[in-house]
Amino acid sequence: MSNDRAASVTTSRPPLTNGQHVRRRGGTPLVIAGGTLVSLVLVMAIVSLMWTPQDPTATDAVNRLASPSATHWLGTDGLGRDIASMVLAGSRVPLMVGLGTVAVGFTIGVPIGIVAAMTDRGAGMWLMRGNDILQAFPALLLAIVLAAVFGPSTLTAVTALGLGLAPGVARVVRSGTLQVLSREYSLAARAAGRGPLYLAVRHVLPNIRGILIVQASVGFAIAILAEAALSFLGLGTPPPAASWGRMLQDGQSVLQIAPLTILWPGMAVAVAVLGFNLLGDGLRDRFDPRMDVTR
Amino acid sequence: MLLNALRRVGVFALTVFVASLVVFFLLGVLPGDPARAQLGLQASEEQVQALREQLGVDRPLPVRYLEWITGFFTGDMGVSYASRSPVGPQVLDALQVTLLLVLGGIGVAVLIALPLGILAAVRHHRPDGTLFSGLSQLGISIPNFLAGLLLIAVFSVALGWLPSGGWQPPVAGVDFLRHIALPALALGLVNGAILARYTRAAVLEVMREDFMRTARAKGLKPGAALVRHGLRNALVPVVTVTSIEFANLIIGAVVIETVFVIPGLGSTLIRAVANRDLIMIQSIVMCVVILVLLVNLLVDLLRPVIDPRLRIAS
Amino acid sequence: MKETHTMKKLFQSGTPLAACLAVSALALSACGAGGDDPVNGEDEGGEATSTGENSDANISIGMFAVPANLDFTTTGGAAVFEALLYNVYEGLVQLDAEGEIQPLLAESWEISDDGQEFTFQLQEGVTFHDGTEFDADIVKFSLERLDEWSANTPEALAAIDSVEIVDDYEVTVALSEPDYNALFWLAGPLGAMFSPDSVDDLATDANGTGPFEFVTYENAVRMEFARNDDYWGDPAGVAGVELVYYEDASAAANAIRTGGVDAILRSEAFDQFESFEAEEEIEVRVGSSQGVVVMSMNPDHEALAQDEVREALHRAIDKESVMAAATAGYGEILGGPSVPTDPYYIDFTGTYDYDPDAAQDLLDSADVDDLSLTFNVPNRAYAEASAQVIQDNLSEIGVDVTLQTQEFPAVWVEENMVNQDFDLTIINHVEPRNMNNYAFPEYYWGYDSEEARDLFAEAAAATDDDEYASSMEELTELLVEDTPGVWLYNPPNVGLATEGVSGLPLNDLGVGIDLSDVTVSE
Repeated sequence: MSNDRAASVTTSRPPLTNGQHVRRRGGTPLVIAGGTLVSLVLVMAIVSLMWTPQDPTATDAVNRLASPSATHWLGTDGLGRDIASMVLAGSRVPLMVGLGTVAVGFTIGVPIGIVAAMTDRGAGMWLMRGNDILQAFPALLLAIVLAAVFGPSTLTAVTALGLGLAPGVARVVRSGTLQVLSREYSLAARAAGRGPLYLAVRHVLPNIRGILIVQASVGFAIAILAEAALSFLGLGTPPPAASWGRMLQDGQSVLQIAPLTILWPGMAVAVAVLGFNLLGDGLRDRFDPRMDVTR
Repeated sequence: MLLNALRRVGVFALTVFVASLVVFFLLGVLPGDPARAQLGLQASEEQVQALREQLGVDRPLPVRYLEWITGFFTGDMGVSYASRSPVGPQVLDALQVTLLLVLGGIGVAVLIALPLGILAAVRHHRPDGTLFSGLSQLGISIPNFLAGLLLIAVFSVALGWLPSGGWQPPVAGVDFLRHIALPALALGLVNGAILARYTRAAVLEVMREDFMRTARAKGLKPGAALVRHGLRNALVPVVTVTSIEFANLIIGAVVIETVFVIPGLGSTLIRAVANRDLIMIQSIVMCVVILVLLVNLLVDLLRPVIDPRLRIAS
Repeated sequence: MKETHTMKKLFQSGTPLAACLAVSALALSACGAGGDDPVNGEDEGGEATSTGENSDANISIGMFAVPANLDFTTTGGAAVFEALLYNVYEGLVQLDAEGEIQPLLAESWEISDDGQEFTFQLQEGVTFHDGTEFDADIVKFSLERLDEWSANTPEALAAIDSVEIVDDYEVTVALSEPDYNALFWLAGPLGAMFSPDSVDDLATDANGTGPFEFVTYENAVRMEFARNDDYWGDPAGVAGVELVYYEDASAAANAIRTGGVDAILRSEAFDQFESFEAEEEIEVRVGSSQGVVVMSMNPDHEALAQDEVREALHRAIDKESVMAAATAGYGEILGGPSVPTDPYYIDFTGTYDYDPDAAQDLLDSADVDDLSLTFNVPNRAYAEASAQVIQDNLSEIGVDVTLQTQEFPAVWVEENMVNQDFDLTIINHVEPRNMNNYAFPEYYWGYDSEEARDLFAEAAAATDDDEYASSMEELTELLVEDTPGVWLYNPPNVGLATEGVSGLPLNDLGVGIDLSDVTVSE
């Protein structure tokens, strides 16, 4: 449910064969399309901080499941809350989860990847072995288990999804780093007696930032889908915080009589995921295609 | 090559061992007392303590680990705290269901992905090729449980063609097919979209190869050239990816089983979490982890066999 | 209203079946047996115009609460005994459809003048499904085994002092003190009769004397019964019963729409009932339940220990809105801890009517402001919906409520009932006469009142219905005044039945769901 997207996007293209070091400036339409959708979601989140048509947590059970009207643009849900306001405010949780997931995933994955590449034999091998073990725990499975251990919350979801993202990040960062290290300026820096930390900060990180941006975009897409799935299973964002996943869960019971309650949050999830996926794809095409990594 | 294979199997075994430690100790600290949860409020402390002893949850963790892991591999996974019947048969039954569902999902995914991916590649400079690509992008963006809910709403409730949920074993024949159709579709749609992207990329790659250019130079249309020369080569990475997707489909099935009330690993896991059924959670998580690792191992072992290019490289 | 509607529908058919039903729930007599003739070909598919039910038929019933296992002596939750009691297991007495106590394995009984000795004359010729004979030894064994129960309120029969065997088919149960409720509790799960040979695997097998034999339970998926052809009483109306378990109300509702099951009991797909009512093939049967959805307020909390604060919270909650959100408006608003079917029910809904201003005044007079409370919410749809409305209501009077979702049963039971670590919590107490727990200060409600305990004792010592009811009424009044909880609503018991299915119990009496009268016509 969640890892599959990581696999799909990070490895959706086979490695280019030798002799194809053509620098393409492709991907621009994808970047524009993805960027637009992502911006839309970001704007929703920012606007919802300052204004929503109604209070998204105010219940009005007498007017539950109301059709769209001037007061309730998209109607109301099973508790009489304003769906439009909830969809707006519901963008914050997925984005926060995405941000947290990427932060956790990068904090763990980037150092592992760089260190593993720099100490390719010995320690590096063991690091990647540990990474493989982590990879055996699919993110959603990890999230379910952590929710069982520590209770369902946004924090456990972020931790689990971040842990789930990390191995993929580590792998990609490792190969990116290996490429950087094989370049002349790296070799020169090494010859000049620069330490590994200098090398990592001055040469590796700036040169793999393209990869990192792509991974971040992908991580957001994964996190938003996973948050929706977890909330749907009742293991994600607890009430009353509006989140698209929770709205989908709530709407499930009234799908037959009020399909709008599920249509809007469903579309919101799809738009956000599509946006981040397109952005990730476009950026990958734009940055050095040789950075594409399969195992 | 044999040595390499043996090394991989060794690494697999080691990984399974470490993973089992992680699973056990992570779940060993699970909050919630299974004995108390089982007995409810009215039980006295003595009764609860007695059940703790009976369930063995009062013994030291290393002892419990050893018992559990040896039991796990001999099929004696212990007794469920909730159902108080052996975990082994329950997990195996659920595993069969999940595997069938995943196979169904892969079937659907391949049926969607191959035509869509090939068309998108062959016509990638034309509007309809872009449309196919767009479709697969959109497919990836829809949560599979939402796809499941919509399928139920349309094909079960509105049209009444297929059951809305439940499960029948394969011996039930047509009834089995009727029950697996919608969940497999929900599972396969999303993964089919993912697979379509791999297929498209693989086919595009093959089309750039020299022999394809030659074929086209000789006057064959791109489609015909592809079918005659390139498809087999293009399918190699697709097959690899399909096996990788297998592991991901198992996770996708967790949610789909809940939507369609299917007694597989996923729904059993979710219920075990609600019951704080420690032994059950451990066994299912371990089962999934081993499956994921096993599929990875098989892919690793088979990749050189099915892809000659990789054999030379390594 | 809805009950009468349903009953009318049943009687309208004017068939022998309806006539049978009309006689009484008990005297079901030959109705089932009369249907031995094979299926009478095709019906025109209209109303239930069957000329006879098909006794070879099987019925598939969707259920909405999953038994963890089969042992209701040690497993809490109603799901287990609801399925097994009256169908597989039987007790000395039973509750009929109207909630009256009727003979079952005891033909008759006498109660001594001091109310402390019950002498039962037992049915002869009754055997368990495994062939064990039912006699006085079984009764003694089963009732003495109550000490080993750890679920389903065994303390309700704590008054049982000894069980004396008079002869093979006569036993005397002696109480240490009078207990007016003893027969009532004997009619429930606590009164089930067990064979000594089968108590070791109660969790995985069920061996009783009932009209159905237990066939199989596929954990959390389905349970199967087959008609007991050697049943001592009238044989069951269907050859087999399949109970299909759903953890999601709308999944169950979808199943009956698409023909996956013939009926659903305990349905909570409230939002779909209206659309079902419009469909001719599916009948919605709204009956009563024993459930009390109550928000409890922990008296260990400094502010909540004050009468004014609890009253303020009570008055700040709009129960109509809570019920609309939780059950789409189905059910009865409660003002006190008893439900309309209780013999001692009084309508207290006017006592703390919804009035946020009055609530605010009460809080002010208690000198409480900036009140922040943690609200533990079991992860059940009705509870989550109710809690969110309550949270919104309480914010109106400046009370800040944080919702804490907890998985039910494991986590919720542990945190609230065992650790009693909550400010507010909510649950639907489905067990009958559950207000009896206000007698125990150690119960998670933490209600500690000498006056109340005296009244409970007075009620238990009653010798007739009026005496019992008047003590209980007085008690209810006291509880409402002290308001240790906010009693929100009494949910309905809703069943859905497809055409041709009849005899499903309408009301939830908090005992077994008697399926022996269910018939399917073709």
